[in-house]
Amino acid sequence: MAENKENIPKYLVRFHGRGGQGAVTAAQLCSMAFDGPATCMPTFGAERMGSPVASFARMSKDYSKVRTNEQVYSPQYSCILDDTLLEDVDCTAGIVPGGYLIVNTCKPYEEIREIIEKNNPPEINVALIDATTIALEFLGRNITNTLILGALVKVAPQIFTLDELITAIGEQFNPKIAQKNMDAIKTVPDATKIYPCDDKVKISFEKDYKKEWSHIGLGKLGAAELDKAGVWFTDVIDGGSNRVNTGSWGVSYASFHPEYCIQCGNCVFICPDLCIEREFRDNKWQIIGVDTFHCKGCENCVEVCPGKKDKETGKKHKALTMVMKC
Amino acid sequence: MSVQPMNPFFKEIKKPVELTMTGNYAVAGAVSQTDPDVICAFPITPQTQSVEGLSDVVNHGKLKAAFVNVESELAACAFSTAACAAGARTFIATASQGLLLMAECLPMAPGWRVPLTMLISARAFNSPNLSIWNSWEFTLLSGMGWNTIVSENVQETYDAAIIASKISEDSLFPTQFVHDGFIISHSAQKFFAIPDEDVLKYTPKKPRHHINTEKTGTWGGIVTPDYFGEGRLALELEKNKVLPIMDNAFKEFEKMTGRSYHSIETYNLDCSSKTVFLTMGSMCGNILTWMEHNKEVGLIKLRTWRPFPTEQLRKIIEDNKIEKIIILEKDDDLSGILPPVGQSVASALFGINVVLRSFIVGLGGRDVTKDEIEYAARKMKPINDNKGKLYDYLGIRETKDKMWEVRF
Repeated sequence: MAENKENIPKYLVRFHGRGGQGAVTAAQLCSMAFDGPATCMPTFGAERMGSPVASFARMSKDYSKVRTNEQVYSPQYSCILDDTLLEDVDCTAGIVPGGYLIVNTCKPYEEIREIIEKNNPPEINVALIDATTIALEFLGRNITNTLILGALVKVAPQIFTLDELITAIGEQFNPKIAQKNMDAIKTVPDATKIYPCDDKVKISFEKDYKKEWSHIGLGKLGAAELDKAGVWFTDVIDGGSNRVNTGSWGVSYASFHPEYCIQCGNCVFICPDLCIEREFRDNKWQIIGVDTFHCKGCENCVEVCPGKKDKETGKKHKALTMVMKC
Repeated sequence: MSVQPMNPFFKEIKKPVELTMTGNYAVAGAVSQTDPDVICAFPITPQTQSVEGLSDVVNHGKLKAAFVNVESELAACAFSTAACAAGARTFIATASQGLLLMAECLPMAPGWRVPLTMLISARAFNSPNLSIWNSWEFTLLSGMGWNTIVSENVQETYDAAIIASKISEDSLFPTQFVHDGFIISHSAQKFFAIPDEDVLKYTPKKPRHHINTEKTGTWGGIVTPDYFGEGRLALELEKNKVLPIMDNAFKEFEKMTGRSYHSIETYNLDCSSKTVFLTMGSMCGNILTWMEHNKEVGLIKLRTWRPFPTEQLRKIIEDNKIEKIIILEKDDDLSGILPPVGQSVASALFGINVVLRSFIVGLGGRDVTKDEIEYAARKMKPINDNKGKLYDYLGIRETKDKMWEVRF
């Protein structure tokens, strides 16, 4: 009996996305669609729209294997909702040999492979799906979390079937959105392209590949090296908007038109990322532009900008407007 | 909203049903089933969704309760205590700094014997830096007469919300139920929901003392040294009766649902090494999964944290001839003596010949993995006496390239 139990597979899936893309919902759908004990959890953090997030799903018919509340360190499947993440985060970290990397992208396989190889992953398969195009067609929005699950069904039909997934979507979303997702997801398995690795590398669903103490993050500063009062941590530890290059993925950003600016300063105080640039000129602080490298396009500044009337036309213009990136 | 997390609780649950929800929403659902009259809580990460979910159910109209917005946790606790003293079934929730802000009001509820029910989504106190992640802050503020039960997963925290309501009203002491912030509060797991009818049958609203106009008087008025001690002793005598009431609540719950809970739960105690882990909360799940392949160590899981089940723990240790206890805890109090869980266990076991060490792990939300569990078990093997330092930090970087070595 005990031997049989050992053979019950344990499925570990990791989702990489950006805040707002629905990576957490994807993991939850995963555990809902699975017929048996399943848990899912996000990487816990102060989340905001656009910052890289990850979430995990752990599934097995044997409850004792999924009873743990650990995070997933060695997934068999890593799903990436946004291909720009491949550059920012190591999406292949800890992935088991023979595992799958499922990427939402419109880029060709060779280009994706080149980016992945930078992180020296083990022998892994790659599956590509242009989910964004399907999402825009069916949903009208770039929300690809359900669609990437369709690709997961294609590469790992043993975890759950498309029908089980569709039932889960029906439970999770309100009927209107659910229907759109269901229609879209049916087209996904056929659109998924798989690029397999060496045939000899077989994926293992039983073994745990977690490297010892990998979650401690050796290489970062230790207790003896940090400031004793914990006051100046922020100078030496990673994180903070300062180091997040939001400019690489934003869809739009704010653009500044000095001729309509009355220097009221509303935008300076509302910007969550301190992107409104100022300069001390003529004995006072003057707004001179927008830091597009860190602007994530939240539009808060545009909202509060009172604007100024154009003298010739009499029309009111805002000093800040949103510009689409191309 | 495209996703409506509280949807299953908008209509009556007629038979046991399997749901997938995060810990916080599951708690919100459970509380809505116990039919509270007043809900008054100030949102704080990681407890926020539990209050959010309840406001959804109230707004939807299924739950007829007064949902009161207040300006701070102190106000929330004061308001709730008063509402409960007036006879309402009251739910409140908080975490970390919120609990600290409430601290002034906390002792009043046990003092007046009002059966409040409170959710704590365990989170670290801000020191030296702000952290929104999980530590066991509640262990540092648990000496005020509140009953406290701790849950391991979403199923348990859902059940705890219902059980806590019963324990409160049966014992007439306020009850906290705790789950680990983020680790349980934000991870979605499958759980079985209990039919509404059963929940109401399990937690009936019973007549009790409350503020009324027929018998007027001052609650909490000043007393001279002539009476204060007598008042405290009266509370202590009543508090001693709480553990059997809790056991009874667990037993009745098992009768209703088939899910068996105890103040202390044990796993694999007849192991060869006579060594056990002792811990509570979400870490128990990690240890149990690890124990699948490591059968030589056992586990004692504390569900009831306050009142501390001293006699039961002593009996378990003596009956099973346990020699070594490895305490894993997510708190430290820089006191120079054992950290809170260690303190409680050591004083409960005073006089019994048992070796114990306390490992401080998972502070500020750091994951506790099989590495920590394995290390603690290995470290404990050569230790045979209670001499020297009894606790240390585990899973911390000392420098960039070196782990902090546990020194006993």
